[in-house]
Amino acid sequence: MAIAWSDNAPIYRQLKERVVGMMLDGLLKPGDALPSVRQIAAEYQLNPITVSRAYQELADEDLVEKRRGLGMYMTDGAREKLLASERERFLKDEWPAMVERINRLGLDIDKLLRASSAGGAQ
Amino acid sequence: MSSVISARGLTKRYGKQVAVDNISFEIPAGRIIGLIGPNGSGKTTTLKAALGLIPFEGELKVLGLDPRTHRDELMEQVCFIADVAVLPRWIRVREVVDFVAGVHPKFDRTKAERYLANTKLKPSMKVKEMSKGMIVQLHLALVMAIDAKLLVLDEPTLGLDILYRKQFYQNLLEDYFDENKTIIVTTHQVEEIEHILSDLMFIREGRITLSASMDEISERFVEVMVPAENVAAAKALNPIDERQVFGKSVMLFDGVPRAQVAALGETRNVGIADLFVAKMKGTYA
Amino acid sequence: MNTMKWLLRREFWEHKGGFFWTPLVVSAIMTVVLAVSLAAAVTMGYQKGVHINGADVGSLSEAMNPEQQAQFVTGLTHGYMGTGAPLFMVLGFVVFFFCLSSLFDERKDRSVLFWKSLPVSDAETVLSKVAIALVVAPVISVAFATITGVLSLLFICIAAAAAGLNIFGSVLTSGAVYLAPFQIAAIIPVYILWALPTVGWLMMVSAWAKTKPFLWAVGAPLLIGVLLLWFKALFGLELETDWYWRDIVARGLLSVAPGSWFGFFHPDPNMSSGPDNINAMALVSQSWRVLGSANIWIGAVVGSAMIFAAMRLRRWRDEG
Repeated sequence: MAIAWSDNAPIYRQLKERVVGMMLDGLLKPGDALPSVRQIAAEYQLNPITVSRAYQELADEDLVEKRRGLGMYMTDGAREKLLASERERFLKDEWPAMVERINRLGLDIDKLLRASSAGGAQ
Repeated sequence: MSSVISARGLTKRYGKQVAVDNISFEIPAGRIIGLIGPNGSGKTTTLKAALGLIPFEGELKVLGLDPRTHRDELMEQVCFIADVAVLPRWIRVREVVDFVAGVHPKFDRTKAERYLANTKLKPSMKVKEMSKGMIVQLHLALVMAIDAKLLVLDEPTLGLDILYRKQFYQNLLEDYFDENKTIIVTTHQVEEIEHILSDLMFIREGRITLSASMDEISERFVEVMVPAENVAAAKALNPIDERQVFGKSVMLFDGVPRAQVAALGETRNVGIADLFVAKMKGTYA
Repeated sequence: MNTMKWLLRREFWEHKGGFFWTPLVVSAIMTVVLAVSLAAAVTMGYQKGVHINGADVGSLSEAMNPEQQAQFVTGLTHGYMGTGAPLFMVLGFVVFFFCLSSLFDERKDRSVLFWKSLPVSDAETVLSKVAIALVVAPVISVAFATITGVLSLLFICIAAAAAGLNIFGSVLTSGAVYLAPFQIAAIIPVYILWALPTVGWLMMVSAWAKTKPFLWAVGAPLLIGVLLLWFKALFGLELETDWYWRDIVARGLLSVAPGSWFGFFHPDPNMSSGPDNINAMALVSQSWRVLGSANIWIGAVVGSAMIFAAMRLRRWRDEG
């Protein structure tokens, strides 16, 4: 599988983000095994060292755990941890910026919320 | 960790011409190194010297052995694919497997047969009946079944169609490579192996112009897309290369802190191909 | 790791045509020709003067007295391996062209880079090629010659029976019949030593020439010889150049022909009984006598030196 890796960040970090994305989307569930370093390296044509690095960082952040002889598995608390950190990032950086933008555009925040929940119910 | 290959003052002369000019380098184990250079740059000569195929001056040790005096011993631990089409045309699949099994102490026959089972190759097929891609599959089947510490690949995918090329590296990564092995690849198709490499060595006119790990390269080199108004300021920082893309100046900096250039425009990592072209400018001029 | 065994097998696989099929086909043809001519002789009545194997087939008839019979059988059992003569002529050609291509073809198609990627030394490789040319190929030829010879014996006995003569018994009880193949095989060691200069020269050229090895191997010595003659004529020198043509050119190019030593050391005419009568015993003893000459040993040393040179060339030559 050929992925167009971006030039802006190291590959290992992009790989890590992919895995994180899969966890958040529920494609990877707690207790699921991650594909082996070899498999990822072979499929995405990457150096195994790169893949190991991504996995190592995921392990450092307790998102995956190494089970001896078996491989890397998503930890039980991973999703919650990710949601928590994503939420924090949203609340600290993205939401305030969004609010500022809404105000700059002269939009009414309450009107938007009512419209979106109505739209969401559809 | 001892080096797999260690060279000091390696020189090779052909008459008056110097093909490899006093180069020194160390290649540690467990890496995948790309040896990139234009034709005639000395990359094939360097490999030949390491494989004991030609005499040389200076010091060169492969797996601790001098390839000039200990070649036979060395060949038990080193394997190479010199080119796509070097398997003898008269030989059959089963004959070459039997032969390698008979002469190579580190050949695992079942591994080779397992690999071959996934191809269209039949035991009675002769090499002259095979397409280039199939010949590479056969050669790879043999190589992967040999537990060698060093694998040297000199343009292993030259002239192959993309399916065979992708399969080639996929198989190497999936079933062969591990932290005890080292692979040296030379190729013109740099983009293809860009992310597989852990280290890079550029060679030009017999000299090494760059030798670094991919991590170091991503830290050292940065490409910046500089809008017209910042070009003068950017130039003051001494870019090693500049090219025009869609009217914008793309400059390549070596060793300039990212923070400094970030102010001038959008930064990104440089692709090996662009880095190569930047470093090789002047060779083709 | 029984590397030499696999190297020999490799050579055999590659050159099955020359080492196996060629002698097979030659044997088959000879056997058929013999059978047909015997059948013709039998059906059309015996004509005197048809010689096969030194035995005058025409003389086969009920009229043969026991003495003539015994003489006939003796000639037959001592010389029946002579039916294999064409095989040995062919062997000379096969060995010649094999040696010439042995270290050249692999460089031309670059397969030498595959062979060199394996832990097999250049010395072993070159040695295996010498071995297959000088030992394996002659042994195979002797084997086929034996088969052809035995078949020819059989056919002649049948032809004799058709003429009312039963010589099966005397043929089968003669010792010579069983000795002959081994005697012919016993010539092989002499062949090996005698052929070394040519094998060495051809393999050395094979390892050295960039292109057209035949031209170099044959042309160079001939050219030098011609230059010598021209030199001699030009300066009116009293140089004796026969030695060059004999000991350099002939020894260097023709020694792979089985029996070529007889060109140098003429066989004692007393030992054979007639021009068609190839006596196996005589061949062996005459051949082994050559071992007493300096020529064969000097040639062997020179040949070995050239084989060594070929090994060095293969080790260090820069290919592609």
